[in-house]
Amino acid sequence: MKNILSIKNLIVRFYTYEGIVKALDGVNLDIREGETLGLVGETGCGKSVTSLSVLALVPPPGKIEGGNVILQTEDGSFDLLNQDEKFLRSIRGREISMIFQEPRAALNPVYSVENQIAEVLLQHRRKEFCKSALEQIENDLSKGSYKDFIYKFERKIYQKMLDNPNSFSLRILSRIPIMRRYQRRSKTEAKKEVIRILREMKLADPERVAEMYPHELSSGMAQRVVIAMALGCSPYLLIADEPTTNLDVTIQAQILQLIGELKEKFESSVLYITHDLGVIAELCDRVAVMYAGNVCEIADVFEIFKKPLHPYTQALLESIPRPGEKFSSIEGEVPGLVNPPPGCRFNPRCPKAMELCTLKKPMLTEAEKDHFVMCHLYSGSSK
Amino acid sequence: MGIKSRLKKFRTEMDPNIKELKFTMSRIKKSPLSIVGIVILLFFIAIALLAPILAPPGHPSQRGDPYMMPREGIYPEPQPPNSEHPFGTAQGQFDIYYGTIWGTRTALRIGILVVSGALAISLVIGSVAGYYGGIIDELLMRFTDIIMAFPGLILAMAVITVFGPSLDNIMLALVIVGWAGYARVIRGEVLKVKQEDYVEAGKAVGCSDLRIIVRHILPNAIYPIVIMASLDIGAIVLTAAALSFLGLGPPPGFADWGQMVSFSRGYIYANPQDPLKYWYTWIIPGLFIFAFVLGWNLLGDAFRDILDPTIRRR
Amino acid sequence: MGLRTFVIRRLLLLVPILIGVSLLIFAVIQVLSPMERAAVYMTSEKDAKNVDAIIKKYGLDQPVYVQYFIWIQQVLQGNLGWSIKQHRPVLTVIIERAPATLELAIFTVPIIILSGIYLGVKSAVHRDKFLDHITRITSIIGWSLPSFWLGILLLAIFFAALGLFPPERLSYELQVHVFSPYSGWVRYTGLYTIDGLLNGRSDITLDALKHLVLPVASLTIQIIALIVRVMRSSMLEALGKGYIVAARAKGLDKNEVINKHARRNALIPVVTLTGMLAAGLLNGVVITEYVFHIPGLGQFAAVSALPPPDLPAILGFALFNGVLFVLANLIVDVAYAYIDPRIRLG
Repeated sequence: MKNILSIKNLIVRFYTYEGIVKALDGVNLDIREGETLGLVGETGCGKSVTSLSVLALVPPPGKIEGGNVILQTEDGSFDLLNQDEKFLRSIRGREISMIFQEPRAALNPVYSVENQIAEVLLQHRRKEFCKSALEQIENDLSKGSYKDFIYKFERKIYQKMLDNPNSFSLRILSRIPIMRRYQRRSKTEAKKEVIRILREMKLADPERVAEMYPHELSSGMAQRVVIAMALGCSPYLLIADEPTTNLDVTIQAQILQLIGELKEKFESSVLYITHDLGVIAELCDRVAVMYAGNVCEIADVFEIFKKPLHPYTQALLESIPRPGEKFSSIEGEVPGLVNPPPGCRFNPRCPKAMELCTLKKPMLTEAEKDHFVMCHLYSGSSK
Repeated sequence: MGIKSRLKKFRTEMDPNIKELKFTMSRIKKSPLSIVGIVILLFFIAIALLAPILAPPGHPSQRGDPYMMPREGIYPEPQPPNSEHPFGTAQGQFDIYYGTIWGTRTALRIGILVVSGALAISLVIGSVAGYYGGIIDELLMRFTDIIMAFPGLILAMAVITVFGPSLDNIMLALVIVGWAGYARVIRGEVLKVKQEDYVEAGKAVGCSDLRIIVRHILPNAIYPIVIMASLDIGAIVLTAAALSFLGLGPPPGFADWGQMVSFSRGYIYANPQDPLKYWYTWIIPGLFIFAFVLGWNLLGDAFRDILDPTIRRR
Repeated sequence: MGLRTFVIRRLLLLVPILIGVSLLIFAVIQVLSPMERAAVYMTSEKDAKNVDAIIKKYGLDQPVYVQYFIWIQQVLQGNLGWSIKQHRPVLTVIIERAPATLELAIFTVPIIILSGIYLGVKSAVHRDKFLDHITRITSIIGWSLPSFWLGILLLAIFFAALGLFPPERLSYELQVHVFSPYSGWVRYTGLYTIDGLLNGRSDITLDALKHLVLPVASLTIQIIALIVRVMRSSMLEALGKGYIVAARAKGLDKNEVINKHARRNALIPVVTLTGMLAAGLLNGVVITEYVFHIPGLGQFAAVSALPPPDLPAILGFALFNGVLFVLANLIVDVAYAYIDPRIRLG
């Protein structure tokens, strides 16, 4: 099973007024081809920061300070933390896409839906639309009319866009507002594709939705639009950062089903971040559990639920409310990350803590077949 | 309740405010612009307080009014700075040094009185409009809109022409022009605070409207507006100076910076070859105005940055 | 709702505000003495001698509300009163002087808006770096300068000392040409920059431009701080929004994200500020025209206010200004609705 993405030993720190927040302290994660990996953890454990680090979009005052994020594509493997901005831009939205928690926040309120989806399509699939625009132009030319000279001009422009998109003359042309009309053709072509994608998202009446503005959409519709934006270029990996947390349960069910189907159709892997264990159980193939900036357990979803190895995972599953039983919760509080506990960060709350746990940080080891744990209880038992 | 427990209650009520205040103070210390602003303002406040010492009144030409600049004789041509008159004398031999020192007092007086007056009126109108809502709100807000429909300086000029030029009328005009802007903001704040539970609680217990407004709503709504208004003092002094410059202010010889520049304008234009000949008559008072307003604006800008919640926690 | 409906609704709302504005002026008029009130209705020098006739004709002895309607009628017919100092009807003076102020505004407003937006965006993007500090400090300094002081200072340096940019609108010889009835000069618009080209005298255009440099600079320096400050803070707010990260996650170039996404949202509060800009301009023009001896509306206001005051002129002018300002705000509101679809769609 090939890895699409390998995160090794990722370290991220935030330099704030209150001190240096050691948000990620050596995160290790692998996402395999075609799988849905769930990333679970409490609020503040670093799930979102991890996903943003993959795309190198950690906002200041945060800085990525160490580790590797290795992306495996058909062109080879690349460490995303070592690449320049141009390369990263070609990855974002095309090979790795991201959808966010609050769908309407991810949409710019002053632009229509089709404008925003077309934006990502034109960014990465421009050649396609240039070609179909050229076809359209040939079509118009064959009809022969007084507008022929305009069409010939447009043909030259689109040919140039195909050959040399960054050419100087094109850039100047795009600065002059009136001349931007030439972009009309490729935008029209892109919009057709937008409607097609929206239909795939199971949106009723996609033509009407396309022309709407974000504030006119319900959250369910908005989230579908965001998913459409993310899947528009058939990415290898879709990172979903708690996409259904803010939706009500019925919509949540629909969106989950949609993601499942789309994943098959577009052949993407999914990194699904959530704090809802129920969603994990339903959607994911494997699960990674995070606590306070570390991944403490990764395993197959059935394994995790049947036989959780890490004390934190055990406590989490224990705390799921069941009718007829008393509530149980994990004692203590999530530590502040400016001065995290020494050694294993879970040790103050761990019922099985040993002295070793306060001294040394455990490594992520394979305790059982394809079941990784970061805990001193298991570091002795390796193959 | 005894005094001690009352004090304690007050302390605990205010505590989150105190913490905010401390944070704000620390941010101020970090911003060099605001420190410059504070220094400038302290400088001017010191001058204003020490005016009688720095420039003692009592000259016979003042006829008992310390705000009239003293003059030695009536020779029309301004004299450059010399040992007797450190900043020189203006047309008619008024002492510029004296004028600028006591002008500080005038400026502070204008600023504080106008802001207080505008705040007072706007507090009443804004809170009544916000609290009662409905048609009272509509009427009051339309009225505010109408006042705001005029550009400030022009409305002020209209008011002064009706009542006659003087320092007090400048202040009156600026109060009339100025309350409208604050009233809108106060109304907005009152609307926000009105929703809070403790207002409901107050009503349920049977507090009179006035009591609710004064004791519960205003203290919470007032904090940002007082800050906003005090930082406007710079702009108010600037406008007052402009009005004085146009001749709509106190009479010639009064210790007001704008008036002093206005006084000298004849001498600037009279001499196109060498307009800087009498530089001290207008550059010095103008410099005082500029520095004073700059101090307020620096502080104002820094405060705006600090109080802005979206940028605060960075 | 659509843009059209929105505009129509706003136009309808205009009427009560205009009525309110006129009521306010009327209230001020009532405070005046009867002689002065009569002066508000005069249409020629002769009327001054015959105050009783005026009282009869305009019903100044009638109850207040009747007076109001008569006055409004007069206003709508164009009788804004008689300017004592100018010896002409107020409206005539306004029309005559408007081009000078317009010329000033036409050059000042675009400069302020464009450079204000540019500087505001750059300040926000390079927050707390050198450029940001410089921009903020200079704009605060500009805002703190007394308008009259700045004008006089600029004149002293650039006119008297360096001889580069003179005050007034045209140099003396060209003024003679323009005002002489025999020179063949046709006054198309009253703006010398445009009329110069239309009359085939590009030297007049250039001369007018030369005379415009200092007043425009004076106004710009003072007002630009407004735009820069608001643009900067609204840009900072926009840059912190979720759609910025989402746009970058789509692979867009950083500059494109700033210009296309952030800036358009950041412009929204700035558009409303344009109303304040108009006010600042109207205020600033009074002093600037006075200092630079430009025969425009601002100078008219300043001269009329000087004691002894020319009351009808001031009141008529205030009314004119009020209406102008209300219309300007209307335009601003419509522009706001155009940019932000949330407003027009309800």
